[in-house]
Amino acid sequence: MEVKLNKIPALTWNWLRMNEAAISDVPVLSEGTLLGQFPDEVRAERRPGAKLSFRTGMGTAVDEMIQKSGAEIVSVYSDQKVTEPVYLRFSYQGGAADANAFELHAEENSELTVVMHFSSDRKAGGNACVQTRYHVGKNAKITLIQIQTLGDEFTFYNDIGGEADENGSFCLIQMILGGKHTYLGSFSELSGRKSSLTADIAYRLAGTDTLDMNYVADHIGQKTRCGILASGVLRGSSQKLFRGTIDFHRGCAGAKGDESEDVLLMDDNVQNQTIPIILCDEEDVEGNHGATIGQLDENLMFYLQSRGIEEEAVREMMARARLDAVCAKIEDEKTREIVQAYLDEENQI
Amino acid sequence: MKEKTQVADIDRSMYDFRYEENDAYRVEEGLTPEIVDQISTEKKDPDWMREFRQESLKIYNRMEMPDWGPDISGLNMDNIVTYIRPNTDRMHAKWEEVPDDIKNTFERLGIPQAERQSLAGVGAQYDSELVYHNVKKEVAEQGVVYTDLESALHGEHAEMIRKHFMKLVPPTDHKFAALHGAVWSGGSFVYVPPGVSVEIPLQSYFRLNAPGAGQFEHTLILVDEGAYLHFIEGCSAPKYNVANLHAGCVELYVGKNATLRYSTIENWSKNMYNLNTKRAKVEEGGKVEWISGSFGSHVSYLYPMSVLAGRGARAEFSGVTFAGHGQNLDTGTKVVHNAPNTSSYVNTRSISKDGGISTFRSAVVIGKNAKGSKSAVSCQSLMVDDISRSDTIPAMDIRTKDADVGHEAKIGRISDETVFYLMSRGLSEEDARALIVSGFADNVGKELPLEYAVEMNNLIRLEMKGSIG
Repeated sequence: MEVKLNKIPALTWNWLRMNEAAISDVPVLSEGTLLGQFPDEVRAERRPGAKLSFRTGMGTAVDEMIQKSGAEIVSVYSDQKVTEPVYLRFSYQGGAADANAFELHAEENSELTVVMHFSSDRKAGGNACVQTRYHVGKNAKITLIQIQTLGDEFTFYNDIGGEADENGSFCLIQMILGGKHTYLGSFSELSGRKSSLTADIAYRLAGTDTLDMNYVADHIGQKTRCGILASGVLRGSSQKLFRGTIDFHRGCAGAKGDESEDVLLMDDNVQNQTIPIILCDEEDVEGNHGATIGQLDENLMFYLQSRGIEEEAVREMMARARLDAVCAKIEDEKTREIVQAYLDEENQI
Repeated sequence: MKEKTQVADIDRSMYDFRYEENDAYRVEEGLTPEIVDQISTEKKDPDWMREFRQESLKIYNRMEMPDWGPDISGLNMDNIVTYIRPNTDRMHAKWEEVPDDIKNTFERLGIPQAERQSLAGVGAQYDSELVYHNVKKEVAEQGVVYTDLESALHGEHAEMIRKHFMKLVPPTDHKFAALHGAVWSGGSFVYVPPGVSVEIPLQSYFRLNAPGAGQFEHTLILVDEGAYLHFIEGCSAPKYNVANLHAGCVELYVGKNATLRYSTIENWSKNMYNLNTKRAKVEEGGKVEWISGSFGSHVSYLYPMSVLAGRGARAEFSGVTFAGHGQNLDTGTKVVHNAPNTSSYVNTRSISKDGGISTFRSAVVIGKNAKGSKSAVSCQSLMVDDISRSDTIPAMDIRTKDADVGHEAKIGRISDETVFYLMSRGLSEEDARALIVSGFADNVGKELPLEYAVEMNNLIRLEMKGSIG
């Protein structure tokens, strides 16, 4: 199957090859198994198909990729603030061709945290696809934490799309620590007044790994907020493409959007591509983008080396710091420990 | 009671006058091999150029229209006249010899006055041909060549033209580069010998008088080792109800340790499709400085590109784009770092008003061999009202670890507090807003010679007139 994913909302020169990702060898995917752990206050049910039809970051091609999978609907009732996370663990076998679909619903004044951990044996290969749609009700909050520690030959498709009502907030934390080829997409429709999105993405690529991202924040309601922060480290001959779009629609007066990117390039053969887009159809907004790409600050290097730390050790320390900074935003201690244990183990290899 | 002003079309009387068409020769509307051949015959092309045009036409017919920019479906090449020779038998070196209607046009635009006061040389193009070209004696005595491209193509510089013509911007680059290769006419050739510094600028001014016409001038500038040149380009046209097309091409070769500053104040009429291509190649230690003000046109695709080919080469781009009613201006820049220790700095401002659409688009590419290179991009956009639109689409592609790339973009509105402060000092709201916008565009204004900075601020003031309603 040939698919096109992660198309940006406003196209640019085709010669840059950033407008979308084209993949020619996507296998037919079947519904994958997972291990779920649900707190008592959370309702979980399976349906043959999805209820929500929100646009997603990767686009309609993923709908076709998951068509053989039912949807797991995870909901929390009004006024329920569930402090304990829902844990969804995906342990893929070598040669997997799995797809799973989820819907997350947080009704008015509720809170829901979902932790998804995608893993396999270190040397394993296969294909895994996950699509998550969400709806955040009035004054509600959904926190979605996704940790990817897949094997060295895995291809991973992770697609998200949803909507937030008045004063609702969607918080996304993604840590991409493994896999061979990773595709990430997220489309957030901030339709309610004062609704918000925060997305913190950390990644670590090595060898010939590739990472292709597309994040879109659609500001429709007044005084909506978004903050998209992507930081990571590229080594070997790895390639990364970050597409980030803040789209201010007419009528979203008082909206504010920030995108920032911090990329550390560790080797000479890496390829780092970035296209941070701001689309603005409303006068009374504030949009900002900042990017720092390249090596470590000379003053920082000088200071740390003057304290007796070797250059290579400084670089490793700063690379790890980028991942730790995002990890520290995960409130669930158990998940933080999983990430730290994985990173520590990786450092010893 | 304070009278409200209306958001009316701006007073463009300075640019919007027109004379009856009095051309000597024109090809038919449309684009066919026969029409291209007629242009070759009319221009007495050497054989290689005649073949080049026909090959470019084939490329044009093969290539797709761009699928990523503003809508240009209103441009129908079947309705465009690609070559119009004005009613003068040759290019003149004295103003007195230029036909009266053409002379009056440029005098109303202030070109002869500018030449006397602040320029080292002037070229004036009317429709498809240069009608006047002159360079000051002392500059010519330094060995500086400033002439029309057609004369250069047939004269002692013929080989130099052949070696460089459309080598930086090949016809295969995009559909309108191919169109340019097929039907180009007019334009200037400048050569600055090694070590020569041209202290005061040269200027070419392009005027399109005929409705439904295209202008396809080609500017080729070679600044040799250690030399310096400031070249200014101006353009305007009266407004018609039919589409006009400008698909010019600028190729700049900046030699080792040379510097070229290329300034443009573009003020085409608002029925113009401005699909222009500009590119510079900079050798070791050289520098190109682009100063770009885009005010006119109905639709613009304009992205001057710098190819930093030699160690330590530098590029600076300062641009301001002002999109008003009925305008969709897609502007920006491209920089390719292709050698070690190269650097680029991009600083742009976009202003959208009265339903105008302004898009900043850029690409910074740092190749594998461009170790030690640095790039900084800053783009700021200002929304003057709630019916306009402003987009920023910057792209970066970095292929070495040893690069330092920074990017920042901001979008926002005129601060109410600042307007209030200026009004409390006695300015009207309209004047306060115009002053703020002029200050916002200062990155370009401060880089221009005084006379041109004044013209740019006048354009901003005209565009802002009637913005309070």
